[in-house]
Amino acid sequence: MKKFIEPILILLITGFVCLSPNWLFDHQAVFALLSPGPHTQVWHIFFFLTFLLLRLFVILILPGYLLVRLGYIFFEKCKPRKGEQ
Amino acid sequence: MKKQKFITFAKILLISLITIPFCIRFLSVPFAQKDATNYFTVNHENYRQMANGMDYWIDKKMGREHFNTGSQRFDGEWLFGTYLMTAIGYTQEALIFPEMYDKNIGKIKTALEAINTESIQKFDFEAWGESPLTFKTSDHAAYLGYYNLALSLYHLLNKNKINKETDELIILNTKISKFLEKRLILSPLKMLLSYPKEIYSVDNCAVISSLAVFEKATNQPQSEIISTWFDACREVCMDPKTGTLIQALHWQDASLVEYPRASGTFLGIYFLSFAHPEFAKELYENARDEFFTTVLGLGAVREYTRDVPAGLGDIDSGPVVFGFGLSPIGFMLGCARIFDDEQTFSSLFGTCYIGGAAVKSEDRFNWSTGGSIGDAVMFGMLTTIKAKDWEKFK
Repeated sequence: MKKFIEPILILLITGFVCLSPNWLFDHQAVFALLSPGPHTQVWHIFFFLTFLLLRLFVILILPGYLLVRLGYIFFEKCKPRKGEQ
Repeated sequence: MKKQKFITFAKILLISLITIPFCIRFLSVPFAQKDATNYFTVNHENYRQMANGMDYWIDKKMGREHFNTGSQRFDGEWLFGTYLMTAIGYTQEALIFPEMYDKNIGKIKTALEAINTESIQKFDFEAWGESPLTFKTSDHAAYLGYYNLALSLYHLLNKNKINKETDELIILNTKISKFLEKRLILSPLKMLLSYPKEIYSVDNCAVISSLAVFEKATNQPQSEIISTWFDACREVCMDPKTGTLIQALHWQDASLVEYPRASGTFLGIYFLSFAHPEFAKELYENARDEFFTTVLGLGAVREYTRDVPAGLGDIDSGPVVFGFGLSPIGFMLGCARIFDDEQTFSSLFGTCYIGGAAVKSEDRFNWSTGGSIGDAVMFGMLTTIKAKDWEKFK
């Protein structure tokens, strides 16, 4: 079960980043970030910042992360197990 | 056992620190910049998609209530900016692709007529205590300069097409141009006031470019007031140290009120490219040297000059994060396009792609995180007329 958490999380993040631009666009959510104040709904700011951070993660960090992760898995698979030596 | 775990962790960390920046530079950044060349060149399909994206906002018949900046003046300015940049974008598209004239002319008129309504003029009215179209003794540069630029471009587009004596927008353009010219002649500083006791360099760039385009549209030679204005601009608006545009000047002696900022400078350069491309290019090169930088291939623009501590920015520049502004990226993108600076354009486009989150659907192209004002600014900037193409419209 534990080993599925990571790929599911990555899929969820990528899905959120791919699907939310339409919502952001329709709600002009940018104003929440540009002018936070008493008139701003907190969940707008939260959603917008979350979106930006996750988008930065997916585009900038995720390819490198996946490469390191796959390399690590490959390395682990190739490592001789105890007793095989 | 613990030592073994620590060594494994350190190895993974070291590999990540090498691999991730490498992947950003050679995978993520080229991916973000993949459409840059397409938008740098004059591509009809892109123009059409962006124009369709703006139709979405125009059809909404937007009002102040669609903005939520917390300030009545800014709500009004952003509504004004949305219609203004939309009108300019449609006009630029029709100037470059004359076959788009019939499709765009109605939309340009809608946007220009919307600007001439009380709800949009309200931000200027509230500052001056009178309508901007009273043509008395107040300059109203923050409204008239920009509006007149859009009207002059409309005039240029219709140079040989409609009856100039009966077209209301052209009549208004002539009226405003004459008024602004008169106010400039009367001004000892050769600078007009945006609001009472407030002078902004960028607003004056809009005023001058509106007059220059008006002269092109009416086949007049460049007037003396425009030729001498560039000397005045060099003297009082240009920062002697960096050669960029000082943001705000004192209304009595033109002394420095606010240091140069990238958002004002690049928007000013965009306007000046209509009036004096050589002067605008000189400013662009100064501003690029001062404000522009790249991080792993992605373009970023400092909002303040290097020797000034970065502020938080304001609602015009957008948030300033680690000294870098959001809106100057959009304005600089347009300037890079005007002056054929493809390398700078590509790096900035990559940043816009990541932060702007483009939405493409059913023939429409929008930037989802900028709202209507961001979309309008990007439409204006990605349809700019290249400096070398201006010869065609003389």
